[in-house]
Amino acid sequence: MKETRILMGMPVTVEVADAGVTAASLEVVFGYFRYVDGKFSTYQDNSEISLINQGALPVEQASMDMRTIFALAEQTKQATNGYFDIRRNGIYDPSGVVKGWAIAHAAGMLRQAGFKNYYVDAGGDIQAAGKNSHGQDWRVGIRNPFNMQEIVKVLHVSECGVATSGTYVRGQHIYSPKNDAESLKEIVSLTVVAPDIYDADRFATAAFAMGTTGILFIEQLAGCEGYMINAQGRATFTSGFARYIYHD
Amino acid sequence: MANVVRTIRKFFVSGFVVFTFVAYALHERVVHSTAPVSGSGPEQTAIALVVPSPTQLVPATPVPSATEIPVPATVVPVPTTTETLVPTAPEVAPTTAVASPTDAPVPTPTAVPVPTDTPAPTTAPQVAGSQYKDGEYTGSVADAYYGNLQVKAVIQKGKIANVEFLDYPHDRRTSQRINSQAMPYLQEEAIQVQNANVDIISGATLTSQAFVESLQAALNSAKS
Repeated sequence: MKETRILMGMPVTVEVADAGVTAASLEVVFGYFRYVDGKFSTYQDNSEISLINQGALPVEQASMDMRTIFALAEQTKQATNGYFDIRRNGIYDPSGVVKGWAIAHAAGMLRQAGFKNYYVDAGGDIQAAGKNSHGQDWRVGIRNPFNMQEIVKVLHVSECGVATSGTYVRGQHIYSPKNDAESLKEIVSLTVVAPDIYDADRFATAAFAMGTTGILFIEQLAGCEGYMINAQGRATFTSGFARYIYHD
Repeated sequence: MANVVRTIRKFFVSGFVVFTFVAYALHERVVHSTAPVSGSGPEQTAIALVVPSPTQLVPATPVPSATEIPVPATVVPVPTTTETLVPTAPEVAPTTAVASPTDAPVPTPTAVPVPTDTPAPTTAPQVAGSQYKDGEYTGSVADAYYGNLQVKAVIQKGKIANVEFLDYPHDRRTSQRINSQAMPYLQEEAIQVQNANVDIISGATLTSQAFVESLQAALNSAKS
């Protein structure tokens, strides 16, 4: 069973290949994304993160989830040598860490419900488990940054998170605290495969902000593999990435 | 006598400097003229095999004033500890939510493997109670900050069967090469369009605002 909703301003798709899945099982996941959006959306004036940014709510008095996200963001900032920073011009935008965290949690809800074969895809960032309905590993295509109708790589994954950071759809939405915008234009897409979507997402974002050296950062991260596409349509990938490449 | 020795030494030292400079200049000249020129073929090279000469990048489309800025071999800091983080449970996980136009249930096409010619969002919200007329409807051109975004909605049997991207921001201007010596383990290839069926597509997040805007315009025109 597969369903797509537009949530948090992006298509969220949940597919469960196990027998015994019901619409209600998927509804729980969508309900969770609604909850996350209501708390962390910087587009909603009355969300908790907006209250913090308005100065109406001190972080110390925020909810447990909010404080968890702030702690994770701080830890990621240190793990990426400052390249990942949710604070910009005094405003907090934790979306870079919230999305992967929410997908990981949503996948955990399916696992706890007893499902073994499923994926959760939020705006192109994926956590996949088990097999697809044909009994094969899930096949994940990497979108062509120069033509959205196409894919340029096919991966086969299971028990993996896959996240892509890029400039081609949302424009320069990744702000780098260290590199100027010009050097960021070199890289148009960076996909990271990791055991967990939380790691894949935050490290894809941070590595993208590092510009051309980002792929080196991924190479040196244990368990993470990456596929980077530059503005000339050439790809550079890490030493262990080839094992995820699907061949007909 | 000491003077003579000093003069000879000076002569040799300056001679050595001049020779080194000429040798370096020649070396650079040779290296650049023999640098491999990559075509658009599916060649795959291990960068470790490429001697100092960085691969000359040939853009698929003409790039105005492509400036090559070599990146110095930088040491990338690696985090010493990366804990596995288990997301904590939310205090409230509402299973029911107030129906809003953006999260209305969406009928999903049953085909599991997404054909490669179909873009990611295969479904879109359908306003309850409204029936769309079958056909293809082009949405408005919406500003996605870095360029324009425009979608086309395909309506079949009164439901959204597909959303295609007619226009989207793309930018491929300047060029910068990667220091090949710094990454002996990385591999490189020209990207190639694939035809295999996939279950899921990974890509940068859609420009939500522009996406919803253009889609809404397409759906409005689909209403009878």
